[in-house]
Amino acid sequence: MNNLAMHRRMLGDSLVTSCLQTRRHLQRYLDGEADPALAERITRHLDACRACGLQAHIYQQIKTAVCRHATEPPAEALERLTAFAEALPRQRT
Amino acid sequence: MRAGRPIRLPLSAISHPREGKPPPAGSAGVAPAPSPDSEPTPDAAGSTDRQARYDSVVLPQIAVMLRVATTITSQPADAEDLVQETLLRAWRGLDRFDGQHPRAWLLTILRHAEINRHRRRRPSLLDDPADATERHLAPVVPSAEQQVMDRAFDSVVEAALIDLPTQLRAVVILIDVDQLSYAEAAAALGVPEGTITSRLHRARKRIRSRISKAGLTPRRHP
Repeated sequence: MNNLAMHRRMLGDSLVTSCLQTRRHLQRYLDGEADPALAERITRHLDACRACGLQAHIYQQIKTAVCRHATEPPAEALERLTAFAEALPRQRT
Repeated sequence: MRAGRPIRLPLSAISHPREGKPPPAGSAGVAPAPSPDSEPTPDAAGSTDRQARYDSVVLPQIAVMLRVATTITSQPADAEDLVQETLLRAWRGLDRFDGQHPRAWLLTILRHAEINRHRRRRPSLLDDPADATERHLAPVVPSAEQQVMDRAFDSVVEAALIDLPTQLRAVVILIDVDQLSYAEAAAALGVPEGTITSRLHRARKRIRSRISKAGLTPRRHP
């Protein structure tokens, strides 16, 4: 019995459909791009479905790992650019 | 994964506008090439309003612009130059800005400025994207046996990220590292938002596959 058939048997057809929809929209959900109604449905599904919940967890871990590349821009560069931007209108008008 | 090590992208990650066709009037980032002759000459009251509008629209986005510029250029100095050029173009194109989505508007200007910046350079000085990838993204191949689980996981994610095709990697970095929305990433790269979604899906699926192959699938804690 493959995973889909097993889930169908264990969770019922309606939830299996939700599995497909959940995985289709999972990235958008994790990135905060899903609309509130969709996000609510996905949240409920992830709580109920172990397989989808695990997949979401893995993708969230990946996002977290990638986020560690984040660095703050150099403060000096930000100051120079802000000063440039603030002076620009006064120079040009 | 080493913290504080930005991943750079070659220019090939950015979609170029069609050759010989300027962006349509009224769209984001349509500021013409810098020219003293194109300077607006508003009256004093209009000037003050314009200045206030520029300050409220543009100044809050400088840090984001610098992060994105750092992602799509190979040198911090280039990133700063690029943002400076973007600030200038934004000032000149401010009257054409419709007030919606200032960050996406500015990132579109930034993308056009980056493309023009490379056009001005001599061909011999242009970066070879593959070479740039080698220079900035040396692969990291950790020994899982010698590292704790989370560090091994991070290392595999980093290696998988490095091995992604440039177009896929660009989207992951803009969304996860630079924290852009899908619409903003679409503006920065000059592609439809649907392309951002599909590239992101493919990229993360590949990373996940690498993690699975490495036997590092994390457990879900209750």
